[in-house]
Amino acid sequence: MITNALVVIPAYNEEKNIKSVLSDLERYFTNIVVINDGSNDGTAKICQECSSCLVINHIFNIGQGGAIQTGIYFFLESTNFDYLITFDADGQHQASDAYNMVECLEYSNSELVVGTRFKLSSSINLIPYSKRLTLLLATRIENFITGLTLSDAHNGLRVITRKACKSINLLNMNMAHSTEILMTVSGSGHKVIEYPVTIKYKRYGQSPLNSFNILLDLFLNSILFRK
Amino acid sequence: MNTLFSILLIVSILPLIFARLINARNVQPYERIIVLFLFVVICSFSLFPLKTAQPIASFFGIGRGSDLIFYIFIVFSLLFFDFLYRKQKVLERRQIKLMQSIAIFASITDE
Repeated sequence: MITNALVVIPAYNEEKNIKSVLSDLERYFTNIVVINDGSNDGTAKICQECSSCLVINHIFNIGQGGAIQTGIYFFLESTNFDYLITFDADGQHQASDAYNMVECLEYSNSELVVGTRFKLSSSINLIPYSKRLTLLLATRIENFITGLTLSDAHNGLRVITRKACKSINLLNMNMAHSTEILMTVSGSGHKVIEYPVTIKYKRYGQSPLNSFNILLDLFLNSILFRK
Repeated sequence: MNTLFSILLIVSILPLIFARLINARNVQPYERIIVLFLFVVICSFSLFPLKTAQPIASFFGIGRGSDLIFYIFIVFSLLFFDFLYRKQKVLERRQIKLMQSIAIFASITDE
């Protein structure tokens, strides 16, 4: 059981998945926060029924990046845990992977561990072919922007140390936050490593067109209109 | 004659704009944007009448005076939209920060 980490789950209309996600996490973590990002279904109610989970309710929907930033503010201002874990609410991540990532971070000299789908052959086989090409392109672009050499892009499972969290102040409220986190953490001189994880794919997901929207948002918010 | 007409146009339209922007209490943001945009358009056209614009355009090798006015109009419009976008982004970020603080505070006090 890990007690020195805070799991942050940004959730928007996830009443179908959130219960199983929370029960999976409760087996490994004692501190869980769900950022209910203006959901208009029963997400908040389900989370409030969970005894080990704190719910932070956004009055309106601001996007996954905004929800993660709320979690970072809470982590820095109201807790003294060592690690922050970002975990998707749609059930695609596994709590055991998050547990292993915290252990990996504890024994490494890095400040951020990101999950990757492209290290294990069993995990690669689970990725739909249509998505592989998009991810490959997105990874190349992300590596070009961040100067890192990662094998995966836009993986929502990551473990960040308190020190690295202090350097994060997200301007991208939507999916482009993933690249922005890497940009700011590596830009602050912190080491970033990858850890192999398995993703359980749902029928829905991001369309290839959405990847271009992410890039456009990143360009507008982080480069052109940063101030 | 053109210059006199331009000055008259600006002098007559300025009080109307200020009356609409300052005195009216229930002015919507989009109304302000439209009025300010029209103001930029009118000023651009009034201050650069075709006869004055022609020699400037010839000097820069742009073509006709109307082309110069059109280019200036495009540049000003882009600058104007850039200004509005930045303002809107700043406001949006402040709103979000406020909402995040309220959400965290509420969650702690509810506990």
